Amino acid sequence: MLKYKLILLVTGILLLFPSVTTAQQWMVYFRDKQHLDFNPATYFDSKAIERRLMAGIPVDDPSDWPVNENYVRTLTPMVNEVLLTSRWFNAVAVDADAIQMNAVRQLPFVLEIEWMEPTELLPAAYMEYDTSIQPANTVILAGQLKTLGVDAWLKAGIDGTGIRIAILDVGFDRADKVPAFDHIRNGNRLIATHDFTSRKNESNVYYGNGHGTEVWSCVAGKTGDMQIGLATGAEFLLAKTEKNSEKYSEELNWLAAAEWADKNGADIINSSLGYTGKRYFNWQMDGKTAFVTRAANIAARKGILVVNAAGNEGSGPWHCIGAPADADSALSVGGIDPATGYHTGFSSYGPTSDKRMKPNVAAYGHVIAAAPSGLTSTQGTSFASPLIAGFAACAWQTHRSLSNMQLFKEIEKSGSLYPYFDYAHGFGVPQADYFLKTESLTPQPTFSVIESGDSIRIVVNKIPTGKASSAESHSNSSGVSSIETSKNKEYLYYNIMNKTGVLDSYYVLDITQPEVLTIVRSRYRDGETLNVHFDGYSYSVKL
Amino acid sequence: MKKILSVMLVMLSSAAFSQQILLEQNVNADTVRPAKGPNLTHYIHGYAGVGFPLVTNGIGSYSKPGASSAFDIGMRYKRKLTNHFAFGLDLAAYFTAYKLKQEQGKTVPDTILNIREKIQVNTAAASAYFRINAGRRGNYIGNYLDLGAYGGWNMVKKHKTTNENADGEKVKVLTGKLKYVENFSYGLMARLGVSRYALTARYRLSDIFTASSQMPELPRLVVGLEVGLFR
Repeated sequence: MLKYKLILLVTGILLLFPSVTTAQQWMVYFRDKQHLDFNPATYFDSKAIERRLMAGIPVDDPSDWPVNENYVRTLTPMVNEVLLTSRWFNAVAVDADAIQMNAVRQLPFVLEIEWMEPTELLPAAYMEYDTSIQPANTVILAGQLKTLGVDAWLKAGIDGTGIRIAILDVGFDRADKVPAFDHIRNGNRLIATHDFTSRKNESNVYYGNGHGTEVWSCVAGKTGDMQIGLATGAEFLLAKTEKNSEKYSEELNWLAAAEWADKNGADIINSSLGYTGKRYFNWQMDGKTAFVTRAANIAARKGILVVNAAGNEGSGPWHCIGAPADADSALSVGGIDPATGYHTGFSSYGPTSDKRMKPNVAAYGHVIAAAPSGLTSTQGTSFASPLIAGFAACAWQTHRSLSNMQLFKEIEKSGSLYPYFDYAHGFGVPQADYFLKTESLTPQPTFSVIESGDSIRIVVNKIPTGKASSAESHSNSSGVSSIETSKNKEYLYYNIMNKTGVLDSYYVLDITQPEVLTIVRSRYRDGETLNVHFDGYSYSVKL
Repeated sequence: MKKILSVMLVMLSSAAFSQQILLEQNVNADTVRPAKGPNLTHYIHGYAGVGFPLVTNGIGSYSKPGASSAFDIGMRYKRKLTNHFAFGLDLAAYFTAYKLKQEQGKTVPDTILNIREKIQVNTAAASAYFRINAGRRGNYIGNYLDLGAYGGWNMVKKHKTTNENADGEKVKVLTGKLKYVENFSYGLMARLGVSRYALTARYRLSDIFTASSQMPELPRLVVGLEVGLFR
C-alpha cells in the first residue's frame, strides 16, 4: 500500500514539474533601425520584388531593413539566448529571466518589452487516419474540388502556375516521399523548406507530424488522375513552425516563417493553425491583440495573401474564430459539411469581437487528403483553408495584376452567397466561374418578397430538389467505377442586419413548400434590414 | 447553436417559418462577455485530492508514514481580482486516516497492540485562500500558487482496531465519538497548481487530541495531489 502511494505521489510530481518550470520568453522592440547596407536585390528572392512591384509596395521599405546589429550585439550577453530577429517588428525575441529583462529595459534603444508567455499553437485538426480509401471517400474527394470549380479551372488550363505558396504548419511528415507531390518535386517547384522549430536552421521539415502533409495535399496534391487540391502547378515553400511538445515559441516561429516566406517570394501563405483559449479571451479576437494576428496583418501589407483556417471551435465553449483568423487582412476560411452543403458543426463562427465579418469564405471541412501513409479522410477547417489557398492561386493566375487585397475582395465576391453573408459561411464557397467568365450575369430572382401591411413574406419560385450529398459513387467488384456529382440542395439563407451593418441573427432553412418565411415587421427595430439569399439570388428589404 | 427542428408554427416569434431551421445563430447572445469561467470574474468548481500525513518530527512516530492517508473532496469558489491575483473560498470534507504503528511503547490511544489500528477524523472544513497566478492567459486556470488557512468541525472521530480471535476470525472494533479527539481543527494550507492539477500541503496548527488526554500528537503536515473537477 505504501509503495503504491509513493509511486502515485512521485508520478504526480514528475507530471507537474515540466509545466511549473516554464521558460521566459520576451519580445524586445527597438526604437529605430538604420538603413545600413540593405540591398533589396540581394535580400529578396526575385519573386518577392516582383510581387512588391506589382502591388505598388516599396521595394526598399523601412520595415524590411535589418535590425540594428549593434543593438542585438549589446543585448545578446544580457540574456540567455536570442531566439529570433524580426525585421517587421524591429525586435528580437529572447530567452531571459525577469531580472535580466529589467536591465534590458534600461537600454536607451529599447522601446518596449512584451512577455511571450508559454502557450501552445494547436493545429486546427489532427486525428488518427485510416489509410484505406473507401468509395464514400472518393465521393468526398470529387466534391471537395468540384464545389470550387475544378472542371472550369482544368478546362481553362489554370493550375496556379507562377504562384508561390508558403505553407506554415506543424510538420510535413514523409512529404518528401508521398506520391501525391511527385509532380511538384519532379517539376522542381518545391523552392525551399525551413524548420523554424530547430535552432540549427535545418531544412528538414519532413518529420514529426503529418498535418502539414495533408494540408499541402489539399493545396496541390494529386492521386492518379484526380486532384486533391487545385494549385497543382504552383511553387511551394514549406515551413515547419510547430512541435507537438513545443509550448513556448509558436507565435515567434509563425512570424519568422512569414518573414522567410516574404523574403523567398511567397504570394500566398496558408496557415492552418490558430490560437484560442489557452492564451486569449474571445473578446481579444479583435484583429489587433494577438501577436500572430499582428504578424499576419504585416504579411498582408507586404503583398502576401494570407489564408487562414477559421478554427474548429464551433461546437465548443470557445465558439468563435481564433487568431490569426481574426486579422482583417487574413482570408479566413470556414468549413462546409459535404453531406449537407452548409456549415459543418465544428467550424468556428464569426464575427470578430469588434464585429467584423469572419469567416470570409468557406470550403469543405471534411476532405480526402494525402497523409504520410496514404489517402485518408479527415476533417477540420485546417483543410478548408488550403482548398481556398489553391483556389486563390488559380484565381491570381487568371488576374495577375490584382494586388493581394484586391484578390481578397474578388474571392469574397466570387462566393456562392455573395452579396449575402453570415458569420458561419462568410460569402460562401468561392466560384471559379467568377474569375473565368468574361461577362457577368445578372442573377435572376428565385423568390418573391411580398410586402403586405406589417408582414413580409418570402415565397420561392421553385421548391429545390437537389440531393443532400453532393456526389454519389457507383462501385462494382473492382471498386469505384464512376462518380456522379450533383448539386447540393439549395437552402434559404436569411439574416437580420442592424443599422451598423452587423448581423443580429442569421438562419439557414430547408425548404419544403413555396411559402418559406413570414417576417412581422413591427417586431424589429428601425433601421434593421432583412437579407435573404436563395439559389444564387440575394435580396434586401428594410424592416 | 445549431438546431434541427420541425417548426411548423412559431407564432410567438417575430418570424414564422414553414420549413426546417437547419442553422440558427443569435449573434448578440453568442458575443455576450461572460463573467463566469476559469479565468473570469467568478468561477466555481469541484475538486478532489489525496494526501499523506508526513512525520515532521518525533511526535508523529505513532502514525505509519505512507500508510496513513487523507482524502479531500469539495467545492471551490474563485474571485478574480486581476489576471495575476485572485482570492477564494473552499467548502470541503477532509477524510483523514491515521494508521497507528503497533510496536512496544505505543501510547496512542492506548498501549494495547493490535493487528491493525487507525484513528479516522472526518472534518467539515472551510478555507480561504489568496491566489497568485503566473502568466497572461486565456480562460484557463493556469499556473498558480495558493496560500490560505482553513478551519473545520471534526464531525466524525473514530477509532478502529482489527484483531483475530482464537479461531482465526477477524474481530473489528469501531469506537465513535471519541472524547479524546478535539471537536475542531484549523491550520494553514498551500497549493502549487498547473491547470487542474496541484500539489497541496496542509499544516494543522490545532491538536488532534485534547490536552487532557495527554496523548502525543499525530502528524500535522499532509501533502498530496489534487485534481480540479472541471472541463
